[in-house]
Amino acid sequence: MSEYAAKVENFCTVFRRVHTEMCKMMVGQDDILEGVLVALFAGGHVLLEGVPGLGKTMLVRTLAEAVNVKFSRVQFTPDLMPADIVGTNIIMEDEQGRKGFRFQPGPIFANIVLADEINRATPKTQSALLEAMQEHHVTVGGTLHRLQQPFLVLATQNPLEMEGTYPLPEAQLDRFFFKLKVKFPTAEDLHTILERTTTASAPIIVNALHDPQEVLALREVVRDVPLAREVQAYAIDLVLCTHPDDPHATPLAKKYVRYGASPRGAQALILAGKIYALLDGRYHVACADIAKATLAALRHRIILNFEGEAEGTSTDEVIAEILRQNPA
Amino acid sequence: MRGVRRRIVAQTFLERLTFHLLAAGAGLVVLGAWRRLQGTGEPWDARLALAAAAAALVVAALATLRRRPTLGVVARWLDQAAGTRDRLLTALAFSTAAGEPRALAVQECTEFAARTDFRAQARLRVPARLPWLLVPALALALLQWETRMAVEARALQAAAARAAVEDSARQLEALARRIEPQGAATDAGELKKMAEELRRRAERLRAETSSAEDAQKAALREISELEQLVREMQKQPSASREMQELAQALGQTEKTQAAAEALRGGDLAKAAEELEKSLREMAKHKDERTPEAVKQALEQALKHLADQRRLSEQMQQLRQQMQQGGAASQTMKQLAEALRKMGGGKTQDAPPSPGGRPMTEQEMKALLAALQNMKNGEGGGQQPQTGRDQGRGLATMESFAPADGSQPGQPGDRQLPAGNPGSEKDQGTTESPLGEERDPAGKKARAQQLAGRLGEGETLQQFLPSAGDASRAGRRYQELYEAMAPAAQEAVLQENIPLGSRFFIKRYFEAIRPRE
Repeated sequence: MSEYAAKVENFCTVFRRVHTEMCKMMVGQDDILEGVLVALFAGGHVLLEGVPGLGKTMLVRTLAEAVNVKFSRVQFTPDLMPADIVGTNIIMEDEQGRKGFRFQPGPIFANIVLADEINRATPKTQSALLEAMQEHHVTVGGTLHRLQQPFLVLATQNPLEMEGTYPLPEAQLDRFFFKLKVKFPTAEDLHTILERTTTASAPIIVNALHDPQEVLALREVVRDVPLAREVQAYAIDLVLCTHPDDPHATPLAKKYVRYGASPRGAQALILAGKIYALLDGRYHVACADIAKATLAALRHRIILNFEGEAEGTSTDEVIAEILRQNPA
Repeated sequence: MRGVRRRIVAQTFLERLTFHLLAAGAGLVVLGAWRRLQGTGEPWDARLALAAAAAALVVAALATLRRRPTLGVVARWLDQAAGTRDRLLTALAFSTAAGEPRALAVQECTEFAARTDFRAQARLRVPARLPWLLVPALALALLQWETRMAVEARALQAAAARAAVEDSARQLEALARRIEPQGAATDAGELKKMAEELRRRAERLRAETSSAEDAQKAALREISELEQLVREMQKQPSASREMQELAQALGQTEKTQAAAEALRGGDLAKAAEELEKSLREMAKHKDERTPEAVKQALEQALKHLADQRRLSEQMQQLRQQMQQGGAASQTMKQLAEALRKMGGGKTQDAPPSPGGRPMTEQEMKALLAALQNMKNGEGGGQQPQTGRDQGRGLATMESFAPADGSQPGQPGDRQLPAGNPGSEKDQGTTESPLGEERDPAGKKARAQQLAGRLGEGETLQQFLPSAGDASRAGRRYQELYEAMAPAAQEAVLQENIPLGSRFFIKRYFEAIRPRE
């Protein structure tokens, strides 16, 4: 077996192992788990949307334990300040009694950061995440502080409480790799949840990775997956179809979309497609892999116009029509 | 994949060929229908069909070759059809690429392709449009069959027409053969002309008659035209014609040559002088042979003129019998008999007329007038009936005289209008404005003949059966006048009538006023 084949096999093994460990705590959210892992190994961030009590925080904590990385949680509130996220300089007295500033890192200095109810914080606070999510470093007092790698932000949104919230701007939304909608568990899943969480015995999460740097190596394996030009063209077609001015745009896109997906959407499609291809046991990306990642990768990058919002049209419907028009 | 591409190309060619054959078939059907409507022979033939099929073949081949799919298109098509997850596409894309991941990808794809049977996807199938080729084929077959039926029907029709007119045409030709030698023997130009005309008419009858229904019409038409010809011949020989006959008769003797020359030159006074001169000389020399010879020549000339007139009478009788529905062959036989008799020198009377006696010139003219009326469609087939006084050639009209013997138009007669507008006699015939249905003459009416006499001029008779009823007023004129007078007076007062016109307007209203 060649080296690359071994790496691929290792990737698949680690992925499934982490997935298995997470399934010990999370019940009935396989697609969410898979999406979060895909984002992790693709180097992206995830926006989770769901009502309270579905285990979003539990999911992130479990992921951190399984991947053996540092985890921090930030509860966004309207009075949260940017310094509460990135950290600040504080005056400290050394042993000799001299006073000076020392940087106190904020909760963002972790491998996996849970930004809970991110839409409750002010835009100023939200923008504090922009630099960190994109550049993987923060600047405080003119000093650049790099973040740990791997770095993953999982933000959550509560779709119920809209009063007193600050919807994420399009620039920040575009920085999320995936937007995953956490569904309410089924009755069967609720039985399992209750049995696991209301009994004395709690499942033990085993570290699937010994070294967090393995995640970075596995990300390289993902990027090495070859992609045929026709498959890449398919991804590009999907992104272009979200633009209302494009000749190939679907009727829904022409009618209800104000802005289509950016090139980051195409990047997300390609990286996710590569991971899905490896998980399927292939060394190449197929159009079906791209199509599988379309919904999660593009639903938050499409901005509806007023008519679309007034009509109650969702971006999921627009993407579904695009996929019907462009079958894999 | 190259093998699959060949199959795809073949399949595409079959699909395109079917489509173009359908289009060619549709074009053939349209062309065939147009030709059928124009009547320009067969709607289609084997050569045309082969040419259309060949054109479809060439076009389909060219279109297929022009749009021959690339290996990439074939790979994508095959991936979608076989569900190979773009393995063929990837293998084709990275077949020449370097790098371990790509090599692994190509290897995996190749192994997968080797394990997969693609023949099911690349199988040649019958084009879905193929059964539709039956439609233009059936349409063309129907067109061909219908055209053949129409041609056969036309042939039958033409044969029936020819058979219908053959008898008439043969009779005409027989007539021509008979009168030709007689015309040559007697040097009668009109007979020769008539013979030639008969022969020409027979040929035309055969050539132009296309249906049995038209046979009788065509024969009638020819007879009419012959009648017209004879009518021209029947015309009173013009003075010039008589002069020529007279000059020809006088020219046969030496003593009267000068008079003949003068007649030919149109100098009647000189011809009379020469003739008197010749008579004096003959009396002086006691020459009895020359007058006798001149007499015989004159008799011959008169007979010639009489023969022409009789021929005209025969042609008119022939036409009359044709209009009455008689067989053309029968009338032809009668004409042949008459001509034969004329050609044999027997001056017999013409065949008896329907009245049992020879027809005079006036009767002939009356008959011609009646035929004209029949031509115009007024009482077709009707004949003016002979009156009581047959010697005068009467024409009768039915009158609406009442049975009580009172003459129409007498005072007090409420049934008939007096003819004078405004007269108190025009009381109208009904109490109601809408009129009442009534028998105009009553049950006691009887037909009454009116005596009359035909003059020298032409006579035209018309039968108007509905003239009487339509002329009656449905309302009393007095009442109508009294009802409309105020409106008329008001209109006159309101209108700005010029001074010069007022007199005429006054006169008009005085004229239409009911008289006391």
